[in-house]
Amino acid sequence: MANMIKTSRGLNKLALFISFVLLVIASYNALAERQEFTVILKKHLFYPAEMTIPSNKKIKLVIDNQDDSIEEFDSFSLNREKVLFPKRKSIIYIGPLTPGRYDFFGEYHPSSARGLIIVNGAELITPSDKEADDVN
Amino acid sequence: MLINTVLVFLQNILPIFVVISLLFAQQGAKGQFSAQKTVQASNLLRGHQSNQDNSITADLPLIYMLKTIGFGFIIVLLLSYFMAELSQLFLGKGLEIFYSILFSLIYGCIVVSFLCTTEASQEQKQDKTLLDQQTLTQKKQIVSLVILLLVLCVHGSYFSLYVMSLTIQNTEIDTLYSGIVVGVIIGTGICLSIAILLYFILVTLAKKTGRKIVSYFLLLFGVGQLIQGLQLLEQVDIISSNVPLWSTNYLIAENSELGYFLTILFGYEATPSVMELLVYLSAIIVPIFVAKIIVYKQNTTASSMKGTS
Repeated sequence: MANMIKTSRGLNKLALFISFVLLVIASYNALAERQEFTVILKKHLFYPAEMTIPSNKKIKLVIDNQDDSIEEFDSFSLNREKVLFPKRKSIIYIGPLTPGRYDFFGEYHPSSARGLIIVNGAELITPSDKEADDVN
Repeated sequence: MLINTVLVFLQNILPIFVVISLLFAQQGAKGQFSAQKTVQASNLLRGHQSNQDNSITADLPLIYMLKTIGFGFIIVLLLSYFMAELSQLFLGKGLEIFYSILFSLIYGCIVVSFLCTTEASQEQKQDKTLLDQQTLTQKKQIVSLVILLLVLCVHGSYFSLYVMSLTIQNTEIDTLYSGIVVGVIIGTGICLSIAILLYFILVTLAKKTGRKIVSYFLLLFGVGQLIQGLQLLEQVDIISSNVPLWSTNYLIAENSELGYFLTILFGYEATPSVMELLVYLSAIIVPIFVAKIIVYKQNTTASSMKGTS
């Protein structure tokens, strides 16, 4: 019984330490300034459909859903998934990313709502590389 | 619309079928183990021993499961109704914070279930009293139902949003409902097939390698859920995200069918960051380590009690 109490106390200390570390990380991120970019969703289309962002920097992406319906911003390459409520702005943070092309789409209207984020330096990618990206 | 409904259904509802399959497989594996034990016991001991074993085997009664699913549906409807307001809390980070808490709770409950399984197998080995074993079974039963409820609420609410988004649009009513109904029927068929196949694979594996294998699969599923929660916190900059360590997209693309399935089954991530990798590994290692401590302490207590008697 005494051993059990000792183990639970140890676990409590561990949980407290983890919470403290997470709090420090969260506070640091909350204070950091991020460059802001905006994308508008209108009639199930993203404007601009292509945008360029700097490499190896975290950016703030504001998505303004001007449609009357719900949409879900989705990107496998960016690891992002965000519900966009009608007539509301949503914020997500992207990066830091290595140069390349990262596509995103509206999960509820994937045929029309599509876009591309180009990270600086991606313009240098050769067509053969691009084809390889498309295959993946 | 039909194909998209099937895809969205698979992405959001498959985890619910997978967790049901895992929970049933855990019960099935235990049932087999208990049945084997019962046969052995009945050969050696009195006849009523087998009845006692059968009463412990009833891990997850179907009626409780159906009640939980029913209750889950009500929460799903409430969640999807208030989701828009929820998303505006904490400077637009409300939804991510709320869902990451739910994902962490899923992981927490799975860890508790994992530790209960370890404790139960130890108690069976040490032939503890029936009352002790029943208390532990009841605890595990409640935890399993909470896991099911949480998974249903988290993943079901996203699909419920999709259905809501379709009903808001000015699409013809026939096209709309045929799209939703047929899509849901096809999606359910695929999910059921995968869940049944997974169940039989797990039960067969448990037969060959020991029943703990199912608990490990459940733990991996939980770790996958925790990683999803972590990604939500990274998305709103609460937790720092780094450049991906590697990319295995050329082997298994995350947006492929296999990628989807592996992501749900054990949180497959083609481009993990340092933080994700650290959390992933520690989320597996810590519960296994704690389970080993529990086994060690129970063995020590049992041997010291034998020594005193």
